[in-house]
Amino acid sequence: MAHSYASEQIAELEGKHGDTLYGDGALVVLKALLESGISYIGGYPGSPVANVMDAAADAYETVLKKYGIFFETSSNEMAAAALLTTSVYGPVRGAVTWKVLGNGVGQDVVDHVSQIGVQDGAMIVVGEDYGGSSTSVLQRTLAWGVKSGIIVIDSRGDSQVLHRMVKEGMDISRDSQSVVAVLVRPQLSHCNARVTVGDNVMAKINTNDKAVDFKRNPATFPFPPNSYNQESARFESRLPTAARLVVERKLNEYFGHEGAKVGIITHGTTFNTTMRLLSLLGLADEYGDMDSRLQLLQLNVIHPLNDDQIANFIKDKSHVLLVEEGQPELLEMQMRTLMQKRGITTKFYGHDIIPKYGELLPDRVAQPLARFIAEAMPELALSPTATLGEVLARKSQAVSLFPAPVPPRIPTFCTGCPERPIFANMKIEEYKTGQKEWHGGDVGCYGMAAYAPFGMADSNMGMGGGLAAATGISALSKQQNVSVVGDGTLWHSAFNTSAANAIYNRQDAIYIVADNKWTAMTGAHENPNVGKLMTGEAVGSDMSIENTFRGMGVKDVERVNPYDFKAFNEIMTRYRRDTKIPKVRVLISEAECQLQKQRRVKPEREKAIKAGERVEIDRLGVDAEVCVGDHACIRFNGCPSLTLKEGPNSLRTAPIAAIDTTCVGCGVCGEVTTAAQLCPSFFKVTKIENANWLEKIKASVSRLMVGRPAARTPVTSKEAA
Amino acid sequence: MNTATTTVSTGTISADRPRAKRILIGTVGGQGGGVLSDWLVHGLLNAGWRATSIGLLGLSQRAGTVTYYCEAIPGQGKTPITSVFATPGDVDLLIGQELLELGRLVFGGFASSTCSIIGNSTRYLTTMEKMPAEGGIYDSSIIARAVAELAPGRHNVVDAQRLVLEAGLPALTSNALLLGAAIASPAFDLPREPFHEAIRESEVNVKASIAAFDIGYNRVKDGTLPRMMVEGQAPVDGAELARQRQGRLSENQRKDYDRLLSHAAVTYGPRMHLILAEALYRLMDYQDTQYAEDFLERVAKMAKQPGADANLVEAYAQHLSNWMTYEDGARVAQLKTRPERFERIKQEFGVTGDQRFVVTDYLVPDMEQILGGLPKPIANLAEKIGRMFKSDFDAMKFPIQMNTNGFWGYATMRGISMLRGVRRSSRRYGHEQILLARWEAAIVTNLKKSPQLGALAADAGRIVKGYGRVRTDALNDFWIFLDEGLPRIERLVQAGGSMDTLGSKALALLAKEAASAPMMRAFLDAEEQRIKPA
Repeated sequence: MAHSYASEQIAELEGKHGDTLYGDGALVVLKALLESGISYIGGYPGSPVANVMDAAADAYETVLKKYGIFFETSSNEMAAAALLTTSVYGPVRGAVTWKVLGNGVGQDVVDHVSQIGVQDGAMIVVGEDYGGSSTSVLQRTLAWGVKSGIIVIDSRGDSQVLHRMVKEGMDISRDSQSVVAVLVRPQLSHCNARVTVGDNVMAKINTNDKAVDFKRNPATFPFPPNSYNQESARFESRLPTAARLVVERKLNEYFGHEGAKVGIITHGTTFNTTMRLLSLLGLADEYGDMDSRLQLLQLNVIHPLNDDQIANFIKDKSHVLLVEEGQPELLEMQMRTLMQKRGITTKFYGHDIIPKYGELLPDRVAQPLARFIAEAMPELALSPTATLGEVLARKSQAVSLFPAPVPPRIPTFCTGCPERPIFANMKIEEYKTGQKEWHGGDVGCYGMAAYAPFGMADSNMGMGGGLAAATGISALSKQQNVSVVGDGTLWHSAFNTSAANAIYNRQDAIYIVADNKWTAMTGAHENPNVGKLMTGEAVGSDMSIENTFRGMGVKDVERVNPYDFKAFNEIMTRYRRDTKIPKVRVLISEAECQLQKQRRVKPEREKAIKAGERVEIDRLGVDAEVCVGDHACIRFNGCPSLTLKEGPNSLRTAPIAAIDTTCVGCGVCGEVTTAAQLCPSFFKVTKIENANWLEKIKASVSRLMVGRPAARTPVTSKEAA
Repeated sequence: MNTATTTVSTGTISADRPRAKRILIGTVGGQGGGVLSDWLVHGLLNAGWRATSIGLLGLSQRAGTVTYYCEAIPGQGKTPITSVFATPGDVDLLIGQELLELGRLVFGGFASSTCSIIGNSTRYLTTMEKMPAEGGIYDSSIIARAVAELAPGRHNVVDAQRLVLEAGLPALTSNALLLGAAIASPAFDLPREPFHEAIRESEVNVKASIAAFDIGYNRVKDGTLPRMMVEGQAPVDGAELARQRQGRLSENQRKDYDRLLSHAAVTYGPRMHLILAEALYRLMDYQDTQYAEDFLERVAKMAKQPGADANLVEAYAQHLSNWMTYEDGARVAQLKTRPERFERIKQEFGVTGDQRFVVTDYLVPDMEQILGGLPKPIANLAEKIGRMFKSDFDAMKFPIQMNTNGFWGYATMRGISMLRGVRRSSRRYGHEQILLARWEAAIVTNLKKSPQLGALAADAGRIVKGYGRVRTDALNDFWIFLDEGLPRIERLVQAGGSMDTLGSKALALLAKEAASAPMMRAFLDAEEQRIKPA
């Protein structure tokens, strides 16, 4: 198990009213859910909320079980969404979690749940990731929430507020019978902070105390003749109730002064950024107190909006600025429509001055905000533009000191990763033959093949759709079609979306399954292939990838060790030659995620050495004298442990390759040098601990033969290093 | 509808409330940055502060950039409103756990006008820096200068690994040293105990980490922590280099080495002395004294060419030495069976005393390389016979994993290294002589046009390196540069271009990676579009 919560942190989930908890956003969310009395939790791990699944998994044995909370390792977001159905048919509440992309995957089911309505509360904890370093295509959950009639909570950047919003959200879900989505941004998910907590609540219906049955209810059937009834309930009663409760329960917060002439509306973490900039302008302090001319409305709930609350805030002000992040600008559209309907003539600013799309980082908001303040408060002695300009000038000053920008540090396969050899092998093949194949990439660690040094994920079109994304290209081009998919993604959706589609339609392709025994990209999560649930419990049956493909009628299914370039390439060569008969050919590349393997193997090895058992430890090296510094090895490999250092020959114009001590001895460097016929610089050293007597004799022979270095001037310390 | 407002805060702003400290920590994923930021936050909490930290992880486990942003405010009371992002020009303390990551924060302009900067001068190279053969590594001195400029007198960028190793502590404790320096820096200046406590709570290498923390802390306090330990290229001392290199030669070669080098020192300048000190050692070690004399003769002949300046002769000598010590089977076997090699391996791989270890060399000789090592007539005959029996004889290759410190492996490699005795009559040797002559002719031809063109032709020797196909590709680039690149550059210079810029750019493109001739052509095409020949 790769989950990361220490037992002391998990113990904090048992905190009582008034206790404090110190932890990240996931722990805070889970604690709030426990206080809400949930009966079930599920989800599919994804950044930035993969840690919610981690926390739930780590808390399963000691906490969740005690409260009888059902924890499901959902096979994908649609399955997770379907779990919410429990709250449609029973007086129970529960939550599921996924990253923002999961909204699309789970949408079909969520739309049904939302139209029918829920009983005691149903929550989706969405990893909202709109930033420049996002691992998803950019999108806002708000648009989905508006379209599907879901309550959307977007807490300000404060873990205590997040804690409250989860609990309030669950209650509003119950009281308005609507599904609620709580957005958790990376800045909240990965924020470590102290939070005051409440008591946990045991659900009336739980796995230790089951309901006799769930009642049938024909009125929940989501098609005619019920459709319009449900639709009318949703838009005439349920959502308006939610909008009313948002105000009654004071979920949106006011800062500053009621009679102020100048207003600012923020949502989510745009609040924090705006407040910080106002404090730099001297118009607020760092405790939320504001200049008497200003009032701020922070929307912790961005859907539904309460028309009266918004109108009342805007109408008596001279100037109002909405700081809305991203597209579509649904808050602005609603507010401008509302102003038009009610004849409010306040000067309103939104995306006309605030950047239209992209994360609203402080330096992107600073000047627009200053401009607004300058227009709204012309009486200010100091120009806001100049005040903020002075702070931001440090940035241009810094940039001017760099003749070349600092290069990006692009993520890459970990040291010893079993996915590296797959792409190294294909890259070498491309180098040798000059044939460019089409690589329909998919979502997982292997997606990093798109980056240097490989450039071997030509498309990346959404989870599970990698091979399917290449059907047209396969049919319309003479290229060999190759798609790599991981075991996690295969079970998530690719078996259906890509494999079934390809087999059914006779797509001509090689489908490589990077089977590393984990859903690794999210930080190592269990999947059917692991044979375990996230709780650590065993899977009921042997869910074999090979047998599944065979069951789908694929004749060519091979399993190979990716570290064996020759064996891998023999199969690939055979598969490549086979293009006359269009069909899917499957190559299962089997080797465990190296991170996981090392976590397991290292302690085992230490123990064995201590116990006096014979242990071999491999690590690779580069002969400094033999390497000439052409770095071709790095361009086929890119291992973090394969790096550069100054060489021993001062006449060489390039640094030489070197392998640092983090090498795990996977042997790919040697395989690459052999397959691409590079150089004789690489070698492997096998250290033998607790050698047997025969090996000890061999060691002596070796020493005698090799001899000792003559008494020569010692090499310099730099060379010895 | 009820629209009662819940005014969270209506007080008026007050200037004397403390302002939160902002700390930004730049790290490389998987290098202990998370532990460092945890220690910082827990230490501040222990010190009675309120603190939050946000980790922007990206794909953290995969050696990407990971940034931690922390805000902390002393004392208890009303909850402050933190920012979830660092604002440029507004951060009080920058910590760089690795130099390039520190540079990224500095480049981002986060340092406030009173900011302290604590950083590690260790470099952890990025993939993009490692890929090109030459010129890929980011210039550390840029970062050093920017740090000194933006936080004058308030920075310590130190080789934390070296400092902890010197103190007998494990390299991993370097993060604790940085934290100690940060806590003692003007940005904080707090007592050490709460942070000791945080390290103890973390249970991460407690004793050593506390010791490392104290080194950083004490040395900032007493002002002995160096401001900047980013090293530029250290100047090489020619006499020292010669002494070292001479010492590696066998007893009877040392005299020859001294004689040849001192003679050459009279003829050429001190810069040339550096080159020759290395070159003569390499050539004598590679073959024999006569071989080094052959080299000197070639250099002397080139130096006598009318118009040949020091630049040309130095470049020529440097690259000629590398070329003449081309890595054939005998050379590789010689280097791979040296007692020093096994000593170095034992040192680097932590092999203790008489512990058993197996060295496996990955070798991939092809037919051309094998035949090349044999005397020409024998090689040609073998080739003829081979081709009769095998249609793909020329394309044959022989990947071997050789146990070089085992009996058979060692004996085989020693045997191969003895081919050195017939090297001068080998097929490869003859071939290389032809290539060298062609290069020299190109230098002379270009030199007649201008000294700069000649020097460029000489410097082009740097492109030729590698084994097998990489070398073949590199040689191909090399001829394209000499035959096509230089004439095009010459025309561009006539049309008003700068020889220095054009020449160094074209060469740099080729030196980055073998088979880059198309890149050079594209560059020259673009230049030709820009500078229309008159």
